[in-house]
Amino acid sequence: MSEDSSGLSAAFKPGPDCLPIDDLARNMDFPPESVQRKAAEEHVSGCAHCRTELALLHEFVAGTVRADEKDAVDWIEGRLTTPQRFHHDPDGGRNCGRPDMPRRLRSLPP
Amino acid sequence: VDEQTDEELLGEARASSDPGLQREWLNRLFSRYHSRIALWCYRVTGERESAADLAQEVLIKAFQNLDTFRGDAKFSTWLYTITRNHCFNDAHRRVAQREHSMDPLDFDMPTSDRFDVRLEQDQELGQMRNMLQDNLDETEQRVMTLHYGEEMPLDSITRLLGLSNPSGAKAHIVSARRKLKTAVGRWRAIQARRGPA
Repeated sequence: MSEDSSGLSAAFKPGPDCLPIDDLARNMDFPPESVQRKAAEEHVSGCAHCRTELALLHEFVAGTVRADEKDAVDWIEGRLTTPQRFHHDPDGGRNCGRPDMPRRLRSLPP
Repeated sequence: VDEQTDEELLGEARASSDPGLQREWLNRLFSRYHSRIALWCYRVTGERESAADLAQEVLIKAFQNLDTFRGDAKFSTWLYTITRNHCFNDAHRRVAQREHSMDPLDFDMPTSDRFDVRLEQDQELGQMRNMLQDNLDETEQRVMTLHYGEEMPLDSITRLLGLSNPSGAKAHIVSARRKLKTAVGRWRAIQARRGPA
Protein backbone atom coordinates (compact mmCIF):
# COMPACT_ATOMS: atom_id res chain seq x y z
CA MET A 1 0.00 0.00 0.00
CA SER A 2 1.38 3.38 -0.90
CA GLU A 3 2.62 5.86 1.64
CA ASP A 4 1.38 9.40 1.78
CA SER A 5 2.18 11.38 4.90
CA SER A 6 -0.03 14.30 3.93
CA GLY A 7 -2.98 12.69 5.66
CA LEU A 8 -1.03 12.40 8.90
CA SER A 9 0.22 15.95 8.52
CA ALA A 10 -3.34 17.20 8.07
CA ALA A 11 -4.51 15.27 11.11
CA PHE A 12 -1.82 16.78 13.35
CA LYS A 13 -1.89 20.35 12.07
CA PRO A 14 -4.07 22.95 13.79
CA GLY A 15 -7.70 22.78 12.73
CA PRO A 16 -10.14 25.61 12.05
CA ASP A 17 -11.19 25.71 15.70
CA CYS A 18 -7.65 26.00 17.06
CA LEU A 19 -6.76 29.40 18.51
CA PRO A 20 -3.31 31.00 18.40
CA ILE A 21 -1.38 29.96 21.48
CA ASP A 22 -1.54 33.41 23.10
CA ASP A 23 -5.35 33.47 22.78
CA LEU A 24 -5.63 29.89 24.00
CA ALA A 25 -3.37 30.53 26.98
CA ARG A 26 -5.34 33.66 27.89
CA ASN A 27 -8.63 31.75 27.78
CA MET A 28 -7.16 29.00 29.95
CA ASP A 29 -6.29 31.67 32.53
CA PHE A 30 -9.92 32.72 32.99
CA PRO A 31 -11.68 31.45 36.14
CA PRO A 32 -12.72 27.78 35.91
CA GLU A 33 -16.44 28.58 35.68
CA SER A 34 -16.06 31.18 32.92
CA VAL A 35 -17.38 30.59 29.42
CA GLN A 36 -13.94 31.23 27.92
CA ARG A 37 -12.20 28.70 30.17
CA LYS A 38 -14.82 26.00 29.67
CA ALA A 39 -14.74 26.41 25.89
CA ALA A 40 -10.94 26.31 25.86
CA GLU A 41 -10.82 23.22 28.09
CA GLU A 42 -13.40 21.43 25.95
CA HIS A 43 -11.42 22.14 22.81
CA VAL A 44 -8.07 21.22 24.34
CA SER A 45 -9.38 17.89 25.65
CA GLY A 46 -10.02 16.77 22.08
CA CYS A 47 -7.15 18.46 20.28
CA ALA A 48 -3.66 16.96 20.30
CA HIS A 49 -2.20 20.02 18.63
CA CYS A 50 -3.42 22.48 21.24
CA ARG A 51 -2.50 20.19 24.14
CA THR A 52 1.02 19.95 22.71
CA GLU A 53 1.26 23.72 22.29
CA LEU A 54 0.10 24.33 25.85
CA ALA A 55 2.55 21.75 27.19
CA LEU A 56 5.43 23.44 25.35
CA LEU A 57 4.36 26.85 26.65
CA HIS A 58 4.28 25.53 30.21
CA GLU A 59 7.73 23.98 29.72
CA PHE A 60 9.07 27.32 28.50
CA VAL A 61 7.57 29.27 31.40
CA ALA A 62 8.76 26.72 33.98
CA GLY A 63 12.24 26.81 32.46
CA THR A 64 13.33 23.69 34.28
CA VAL A 65 16.82 22.78 33.15
CA ARG A 66 17.62 19.07 33.20
CA ALA A 67 20.95 17.95 34.64
CA ASP A 68 22.41 17.07 31.25
CA GLU A 69 21.49 20.52 29.88
CA LYS A 70 22.86 22.68 32.67
CA ASP A 71 26.40 23.27 31.39
CA ALA A 72 25.23 24.15 27.91
CA VAL A 73 22.46 26.46 29.10
CA ASP A 74 24.82 28.25 31.50
CA TRP A 75 27.31 28.70 28.66
CA ILE A 76 24.67 30.06 26.26
CA GLU A 77 23.16 32.31 28.91
CA GLY A 78 26.60 33.70 29.65
CA ARG A 79 26.90 34.83 26.05
CA LEU A 80 23.50 36.51 25.91
CA THR A 81 23.13 40.20 26.26
CA THR A 82 19.96 42.16 26.35
CA PRO A 83 20.17 44.42 23.32
CA GLN A 84 21.45 47.72 24.63
CA ARG A 85 21.00 50.50 22.14
CA PHE A 86 17.61 52.15 21.98
CA HIS A 87 16.21 55.26 20.55
CA HIS A 88 13.26 56.93 22.14
CA ASP A 89 10.00 56.72 20.26
CA PRO A 90 9.01 60.39 20.07
CA ASP A 91 5.32 59.81 19.47
CA GLY A 92 3.38 58.50 22.40
CA GLY A 93 6.30 57.86 24.70
CA ARG A 94 6.17 54.15 24.01
CA ASN A 95 9.57 52.59 24.19
CA CYS A 96 10.74 51.32 20.89
CA GLY A 97 13.84 49.25 21.41
CA ARG A 98 16.10 49.10 18.40
CA PRO A 99 19.09 47.07 19.38
CA ASP A 100 22.42 46.78 17.72
CA MET A 101 22.48 43.86 15.35
CA PRO A 102 24.94 41.12 16.25
CA ARG A 103 27.79 40.43 13.89
CA ARG A 104 26.17 37.36 12.34
CA LEU A 105 23.00 39.26 11.43
CA ARG A 106 24.82 42.32 10.14
CA SER A 107 26.45 40.13 7.56
CA LEU A 108 23.14 38.92 6.20
CA PRO A 109 21.53 40.61 3.22
CA PRO A 110 18.52 42.79 4.02
CA VAL B 1 11.89 44.88 41.50
CA ASP B 2 11.83 41.11 41.67
CA GLU B 3 8.29 41.29 43.00
CA GLN B 4 7.07 43.31 40.04
CA THR B 5 5.32 41.43 37.31
CA ASP B 6 6.73 41.35 33.78
CA GLU B 7 3.92 43.59 32.64
CA GLU B 8 4.69 46.12 35.40
CA LEU B 9 8.36 46.23 34.40
CA LEU B 10 7.38 46.83 30.80
CA GLY B 11 4.94 49.51 31.91
CA GLU B 12 7.75 51.28 33.80
CA ALA B 13 9.91 51.20 30.68
CA ARG B 14 7.14 52.52 28.49
CA ALA B 15 6.29 55.29 30.94
CA SER B 16 9.86 56.51 31.20
CA SER B 17 11.16 59.20 28.89
CA ASP B 18 14.74 58.62 30.01
CA PRO B 19 16.48 56.21 27.59
CA GLY B 20 18.83 55.09 30.36
CA LEU B 21 15.96 54.16 32.63
CA GLN B 22 14.11 52.48 29.79
CA ARG B 23 17.18 50.40 29.16
CA GLU B 24 17.39 49.50 32.83
CA TRP B 25 13.76 48.39 33.11
CA LEU B 26 13.89 46.38 29.92
CA ASN B 27 17.17 44.78 30.89
CA ARG B 28 15.60 43.63 34.14
CA LEU B 29 12.59 42.28 32.30
CA PHE B 30 14.47 40.37 29.61
CA SER B 31 17.14 39.09 31.97
CA ARG B 32 14.41 37.05 33.63
CA TYR B 33 14.08 35.11 30.39
CA HIS B 34 17.68 34.65 29.28
CA SER B 35 17.89 31.16 30.77
CA ARG B 36 14.52 30.09 29.39
CA ILE B 37 15.30 31.32 25.89
CA ALA B 38 18.75 29.71 26.04
CA LEU B 39 17.20 26.42 27.16
CA TRP B 40 14.57 26.42 24.43
CA CYS B 41 17.09 27.24 21.70
CA TYR B 42 19.44 24.55 22.96
CA ARG B 43 16.68 21.96 22.89
CA VAL B 44 15.80 22.84 19.30
CA THR B 45 19.38 22.91 17.96
CA GLY B 46 21.19 20.55 20.33
CA GLU B 47 24.35 22.58 19.84
CA ARG B 48 25.73 25.44 21.95
CA GLU B 49 27.08 27.83 19.35
CA SER B 50 24.04 27.84 17.10
CA ALA B 51 21.74 27.93 20.12
CA ALA B 52 23.55 31.02 21.42
CA ASP B 53 23.16 32.75 18.04
CA LEU B 54 19.54 31.73 17.86
CA ALA B 55 18.82 32.96 21.38
CA GLN B 56 20.39 36.33 20.63
CA GLU B 57 18.27 36.60 17.50
CA VAL B 58 15.16 35.85 19.58
CA LEU B 59 16.04 38.66 21.98
CA ILE B 60 16.56 41.06 19.10
CA LYS B 61 13.31 40.07 17.46
CA ALA B 62 11.46 40.52 20.76
CA PHE B 63 12.95 44.00 21.18
CA GLN B 64 12.12 44.97 17.65
CA ASN B 65 8.52 43.85 18.10
CA LEU B 66 8.00 45.12 21.62
CA ASP B 67 5.42 47.61 20.35
CA THR B 68 3.21 44.73 19.28
CA PHE B 69 2.81 43.54 22.88
CA ARG B 70 -0.57 44.95 23.90
CA GLY B 71 -0.99 43.17 27.20
CA ASP B 72 -3.83 40.95 25.96
CA ALA B 73 -1.78 37.89 26.88
CA LYS B 74 0.94 37.47 29.49
CA PHE B 75 4.35 38.79 28.54
CA SER B 76 5.77 35.28 29.02
CA THR B 77 3.29 33.89 26.49
CA TRP B 78 4.12 36.64 24.01
CA LEU B 79 7.84 36.00 24.38
CA TYR B 80 7.30 32.25 24.12
CA THR B 81 5.47 32.73 20.82
CA ILE B 82 8.41 34.67 19.39
CA THR B 83 10.90 32.11 20.69
CA ARG B 84 8.91 29.14 19.44
CA ASN B 85 8.27 30.56 15.98
CA HIS B 86 11.83 31.73 15.46
CA CYS B 87 13.30 28.40 16.60
CA PHE B 88 10.86 26.30 14.58
CA ASN B 89 11.56 28.36 11.45
CA ASP B 90 15.29 27.94 12.02
CA ALA B 91 14.86 24.17 12.41
CA HIS B 92 12.91 24.01 9.13
CA ARG B 93 15.64 26.00 7.40
CA ARG B 94 18.36 23.70 8.75
CA VAL B 95 16.49 20.61 7.56
CA ALA B 96 16.04 22.15 4.11
CA GLN B 97 19.74 23.02 3.88
CA ARG B 98 21.08 19.57 4.73
CA GLU B 99 23.18 18.36 1.84
CA HIS B 100 21.49 14.99 1.60
CA SER B 101 18.21 16.26 2.76
CA MET B 102 15.57 13.68 3.52
CA ASP B 103 11.94 14.51 3.74
CA PRO B 104 11.70 15.00 7.50
CA LEU B 105 8.47 13.05 7.44
CA ASP B 106 9.94 10.15 5.52
CA PHE B 107 12.62 8.65 7.71
CA ASP B 108 13.49 4.98 7.50
CA MET B 109 10.13 3.58 8.49
CA PRO B 110 10.01 -0.22 8.14
CA THR B 111 7.92 -1.23 5.14
CA SER B 112 5.69 -3.32 7.35
CA ASP B 113 4.71 -0.18 9.29
CA ARG B 114 3.74 1.83 6.26
CA PHE B 115 0.11 2.32 5.48
CA ASP B 116 -2.05 4.47 3.30
CA VAL B 117 -3.09 7.55 5.19
CA ARG B 118 -4.36 9.54 2.27
CA LEU B 119 -7.54 11.22 3.31
CA GLU B 120 -10.17 11.73 0.67
CA GLN B 121 -12.63 13.92 2.49
CA ASP B 122 -12.96 16.17 5.52
CA GLN B 123 -14.99 13.40 7.12
CA GLU B 124 -11.95 11.14 6.95
CA LEU B 125 -9.82 13.85 8.52
CA GLY B 126 -12.21 14.05 11.44
CA GLN B 127 -12.18 10.26 11.71
CA MET B 128 -8.39 10.22 11.71
CA ARG B 129 -8.33 12.81 14.52
CA ASN B 130 -10.70 10.69 16.56
CA MET B 131 -8.55 7.61 15.93
CA LEU B 132 -5.36 9.24 17.08
CA GLN B 133 -7.11 10.59 20.15
CA ASP B 134 -8.51 7.17 21.00
CA ASN B 135 -5.48 5.05 20.17
CA LEU B 136 -2.32 7.01 20.99
CA ASP B 137 -0.97 7.86 24.41
CA GLU B 138 -0.22 11.48 25.30
CA THR B 139 3.49 11.29 24.49
CA GLU B 140 2.81 9.68 21.12
CA GLN B 141 0.30 12.42 20.29
CA ARG B 142 2.80 15.15 21.18
CA VAL B 143 5.60 13.53 19.19
CA MET B 144 3.34 13.03 16.16
CA THR B 145 2.04 16.61 16.42
CA LEU B 146 5.54 18.05 16.44
CA HIS B 147 6.81 15.78 13.68
CA TYR B 148 3.89 15.64 11.26
CA GLY B 149 2.05 18.83 12.25
CA GLU B 150 5.05 21.11 12.80
CA GLU B 151 7.61 19.23 10.70
CA MET B 152 10.19 19.29 13.48
CA PRO B 153 13.26 17.03 13.26
CA LEU B 154 13.24 13.99 15.50
CA ASP B 155 16.28 14.99 17.56
CA SER B 156 14.72 18.36 18.40
CA ILE B 157 11.50 16.64 19.47
CA THR B 158 13.44 14.24 21.67
CA ARG B 159 15.07 17.15 23.51
CA LEU B 160 11.96 19.38 23.63
CA LEU B 161 9.88 16.63 25.22
CA GLY B 162 12.70 15.28 27.39
CA LEU B 163 12.36 11.75 26.01
CA SER B 164 14.92 9.55 27.73
CA ASN B 165 14.39 6.25 25.89
CA PRO B 166 17.37 5.21 23.71
CA SER B 167 15.89 6.07 20.31
CA GLY B 168 13.88 9.05 21.54
CA ALA B 169 11.07 10.41 19.36
CA LYS B 170 11.55 7.80 16.64
CA ALA B 171 10.41 4.95 18.88
CA HIS B 172 7.22 6.82 19.74
CA ILE B 173 6.50 7.48 16.07
CA VAL B 174 7.00 3.84 15.14
CA SER B 175 4.71 2.78 17.97
CA ALA B 176 2.09 5.41 17.10
CA ARG B 177 2.07 4.47 13.42
CA ARG B 178 1.60 0.79 14.22
CA LYS B 179 -1.39 1.64 16.38
CA LEU B 180 -2.81 3.93 13.72
CA LYS B 181 -2.25 1.36 11.01
CA THR B 182 -4.35 -1.13 12.96
CA ALA B 183 -7.04 1.43 13.69
CA VAL B 184 -7.20 2.64 10.08
CA GLY B 185 -7.38 -0.96 8.84
CA ARG B 186 -10.28 -1.67 11.18
CA TRP B 187 -12.08 1.47 10.12
CA ARG B 188 -11.60 0.82 6.42
CA ALA B 189 -12.87 -2.75 6.82
CA ILE B 190 -16.03 -1.42 8.43
CA GLN B 191 -16.44 1.14 5.65
CA ALA B 192 -16.00 -1.58 3.02
CA ARG B 193 -18.66 -3.76 4.63
CA ARG B 194 -21.06 -0.82 4.62
CA GLY B 195 -20.46 -0.29 0.92
CA PRO B 196 -20.41 2.98 -0.99
CA ALA B 197 -22.38 5.86 0.54
